[in-house]
Amino acid sequence: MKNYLILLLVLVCFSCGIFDTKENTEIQKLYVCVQGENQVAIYNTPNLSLLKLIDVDFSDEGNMPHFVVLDEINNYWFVTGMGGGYVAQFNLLTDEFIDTIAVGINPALMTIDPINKKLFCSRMEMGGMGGMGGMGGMGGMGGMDMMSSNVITGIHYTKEGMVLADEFNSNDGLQSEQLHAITYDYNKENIITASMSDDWLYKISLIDNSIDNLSMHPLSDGYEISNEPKLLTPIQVVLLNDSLIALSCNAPGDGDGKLNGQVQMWNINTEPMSKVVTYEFNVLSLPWHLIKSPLEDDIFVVLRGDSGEGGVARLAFNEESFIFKWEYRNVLFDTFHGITIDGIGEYIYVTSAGENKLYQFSASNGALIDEIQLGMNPGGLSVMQSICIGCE
Amino acid sequence: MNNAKKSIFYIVLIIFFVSCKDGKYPSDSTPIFQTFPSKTYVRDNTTGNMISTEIDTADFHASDNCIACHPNHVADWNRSMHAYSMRDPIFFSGWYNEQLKNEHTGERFCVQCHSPVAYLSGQKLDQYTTVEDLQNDPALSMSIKEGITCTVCHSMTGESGRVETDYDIAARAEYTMNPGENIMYGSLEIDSIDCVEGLYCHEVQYNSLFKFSESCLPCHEMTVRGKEVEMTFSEWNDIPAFGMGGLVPCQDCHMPVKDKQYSDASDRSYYSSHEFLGVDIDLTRDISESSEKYQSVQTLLQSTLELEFGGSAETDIIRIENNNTLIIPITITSHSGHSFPSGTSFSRQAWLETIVTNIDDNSVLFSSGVIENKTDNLDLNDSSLLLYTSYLLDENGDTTNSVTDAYDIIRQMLPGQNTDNHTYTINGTFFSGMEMHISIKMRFRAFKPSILAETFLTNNMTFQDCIECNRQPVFTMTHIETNFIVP
Repeated sequence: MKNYLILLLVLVCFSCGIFDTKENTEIQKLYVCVQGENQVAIYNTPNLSLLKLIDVDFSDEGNMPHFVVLDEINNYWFVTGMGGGYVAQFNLLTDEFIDTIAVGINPALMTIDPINKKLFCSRMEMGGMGGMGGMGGMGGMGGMDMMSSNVITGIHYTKEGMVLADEFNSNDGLQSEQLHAITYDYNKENIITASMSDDWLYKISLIDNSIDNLSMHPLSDGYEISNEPKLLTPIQVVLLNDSLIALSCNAPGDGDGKLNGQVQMWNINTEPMSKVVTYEFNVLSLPWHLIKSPLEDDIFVVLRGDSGEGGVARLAFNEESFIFKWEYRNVLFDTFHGITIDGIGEYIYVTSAGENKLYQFSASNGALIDEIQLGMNPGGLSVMQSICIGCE
Repeated sequence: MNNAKKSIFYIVLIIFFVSCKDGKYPSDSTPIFQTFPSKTYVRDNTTGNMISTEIDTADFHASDNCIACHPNHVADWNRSMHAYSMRDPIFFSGWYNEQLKNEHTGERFCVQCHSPVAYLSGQKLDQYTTVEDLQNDPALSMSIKEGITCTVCHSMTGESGRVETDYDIAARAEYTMNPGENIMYGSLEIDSIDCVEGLYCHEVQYNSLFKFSESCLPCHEMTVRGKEVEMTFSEWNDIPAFGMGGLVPCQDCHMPVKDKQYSDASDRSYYSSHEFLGVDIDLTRDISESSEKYQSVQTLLQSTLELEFGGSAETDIIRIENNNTLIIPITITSHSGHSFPSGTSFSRQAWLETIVTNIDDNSVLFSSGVIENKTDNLDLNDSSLLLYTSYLLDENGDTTNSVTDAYDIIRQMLPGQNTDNHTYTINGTFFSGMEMHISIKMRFRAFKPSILAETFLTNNMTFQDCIECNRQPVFTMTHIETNFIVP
């Protein structure tokens, strides 16, 4: 009888995984914002098995998880609730919810400094004729400018949650609306951002709070902030090295004056910042998010166009030029959105908002490896850069 | 082994197999995104005719089935262009001509969006040449007569692509829907409803599609021969601030939340308008300016554009140059989520009506875009005229009003969420102290006079004789005015 009881206990323990070793839970998680379902989907990579669906539904006014960043040093992940006006913090190992913080209308992209446990988020502006559905319950928070989109919001985070830090707005010299693209510079001393509506580039010093700014058009064109040319419509910026950045420019619209979709390289250390070179794609390519290779001097650019213009491209860069490496476009690709790359530069992952899919491509040659059906309107995504030991 | 030991052994085995398996991955408990079924059909891509289909006209109910529990929604829908789609004389005129032009494809081409029930079920409608013929046929299903009826949209289970029409002008619309299974799909996050005995009752399923602009596909997006002739969805989707997150979807402006007029099956005091507010008016009946329909169209139009005196630079203001030239810069700002005009933009006209008068003697110093009657043509030779519209071009490069004849399109619309500048340069004699009144209106009409003429003017009729033509309102979207004294 005693033996049976011991056998029973051992079997139960084994089946419960009590004696599982950490090796059984070595995974590399990919976080995908599924905006239309108010969820973040977590996949294991590279096999793309769906691990969890995390609800991001902290506001009755709307949620729309848009962009996710990972802190793999302190083990957190953060997501912007674009429709709900907040940033949410989760545990990277367990994916347990930690905190939300209201930041104002339509938080969009983020840039993160894990060493100092700080992040900055940009804000969009919906405009439109009504239906400002996101911010109904968030007015008047401690003097914050909740409704404008010429605001960059800093957030400190700890294991207990988040607190608001520096905020930069029009009073500091951020005169443009729709500041979407955002990145730290190499030394984490400046924030670089750009206005979609004004085609305007800003460098915000975190040392003395000064702000440098200039038009992304040639100065001889005489553009002013009030022009709102919307010819380039910069979407995202990535840091290339200690002095260079790359900006994806959507170049939407049609008619006279429409520009080709393009990626611009700027030197942010010159006074004033200076454009180094522009790489132009097709006129209907609509470059969207972009990401830098973790190991090589290459960037990967999402092309949002459809009818054969959509896909992904790889460009190499040096101090003075972009060099085309490959481009994979397909007539089936529709409204590509976010992009991320694993830590060894083997696979890139791309979301399609038009097809509600997650695509996996070979980073080396652009070959399509796999595709997964997602829920409505997937957006930003981010993959762990190393194998996680202890992740659930 | 005795019985007691055997029992324990089996219990141990059972516990082993059932215990603690949840929570490990991969396993059967792996989460999945919800997907919905859809019915299939096989279409002859050269004609648009159905070869086989799982969808039947009986899969769709008429709005009468819905009104008892959803009186507000049905009342709205009755005023909508969705309800008008198979009662519209302009549609019938074009549809009839289409069948003459394209004998094998014309009937299906128009029906694919104007009556999805007929299209998907394969019911041919080519025997009907007038609205009355079709609407008065007792044998024809009400769900076809009602055009885009309630159960068309609420059977949709997935995204559809745009309508891409090839050189053969065959119907190509792809619908992803699951009609006839007694399930109504929608945007409310509920999974059951209380049924009332004796009334039509159905299951409900939440489908996030209904919260997004994608639910307006396939019909509000069409290419012909690769040319983008009706592209409302893309015009919205290509505005980065909107398309990137599905922000400000079509529903926000065209299905705004409003208070209920009638009590219905739900406890909520509000609901989303199902009038699908747009710019069209039912021309088959008189409409007063105080009617709800007229007012809702006017309100929508008035919130679409904004006019301001002045150009893009602070120095670009109303002024006199060289003592003989009056400069009036205007900035037009679009608050629309798509180009303006949109949809059948080639049938629409939005233009500036500008009048400058000398206040001293009330004489008109300058005018542009002024029409005396609602059906008058604009003076397209007026170089000062600001007109938003588009022009379809046929294979000879001539303008046409038929999308199936389109080989190209000239898009002269104002992109959504964008600004435009226009400057009037008026030569004359201007002296110091002279006081002028400047009035500028943005005016709009849904149909160009040429389209009304094609439909309604038969047997040497003139516009004066045309009741339907004169029912079309010319709206004032916005109006600015100022007095200017020559310094």
